[in-house]
Amino acid sequence: MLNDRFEFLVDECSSGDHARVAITIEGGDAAEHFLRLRSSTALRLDELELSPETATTTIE
Amino acid sequence: MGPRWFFFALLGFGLSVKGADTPMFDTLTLLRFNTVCAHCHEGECSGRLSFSSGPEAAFSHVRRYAGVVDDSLARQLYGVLERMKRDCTYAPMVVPDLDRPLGREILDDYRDTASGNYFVPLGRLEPTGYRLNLRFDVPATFR
Repeated sequence: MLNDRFEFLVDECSSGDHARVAITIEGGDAAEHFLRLRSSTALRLDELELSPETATTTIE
Repeated sequence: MGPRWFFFALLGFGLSVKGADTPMFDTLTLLRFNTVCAHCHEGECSGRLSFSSGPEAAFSHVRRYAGVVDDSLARQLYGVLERMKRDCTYAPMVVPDLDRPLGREILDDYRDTASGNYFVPLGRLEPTGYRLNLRFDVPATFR
């Protein structure tokens, strides 16, 4: 089975620089995951933090 | 040859990985495949789809979609696709330590400089909720 993934398309905008996403992995056993970010511009990622939290999927 | 040679050999491998029965792929190859090629090739999980004509026959296709690619990189990209078809997984990569926030100096290792896209292995995650914080160098939105 292919690994599970979180995938986002990133675009430059006029305001805001901190993206926060709540993601939920449901059921089953622990599995390999990865994050893929695609961008149409030359955005650079300065910081990434992943921490456990009980939440539903939302994008702020 | 001795311990010193072995040390430099390991150093030269960098973030490269090698499975028990898989060819070695360097990080550049994996990042290009995982961020560009996988856009279409992800999930091709049948060995029956393997090419019989050899990697050279696919070079023009690779160069059309994967950007500036020399023969060596094209051959490796072909190898990564063959692996995905056979093993039905992404090739393993070194997982960063996610116990603390990752800074740019680490994240740059997971950025394909040609496409500007990122592929960050998160390791084995238990089923639960997570909060993912991403900070970019310029204002950004994502979807």
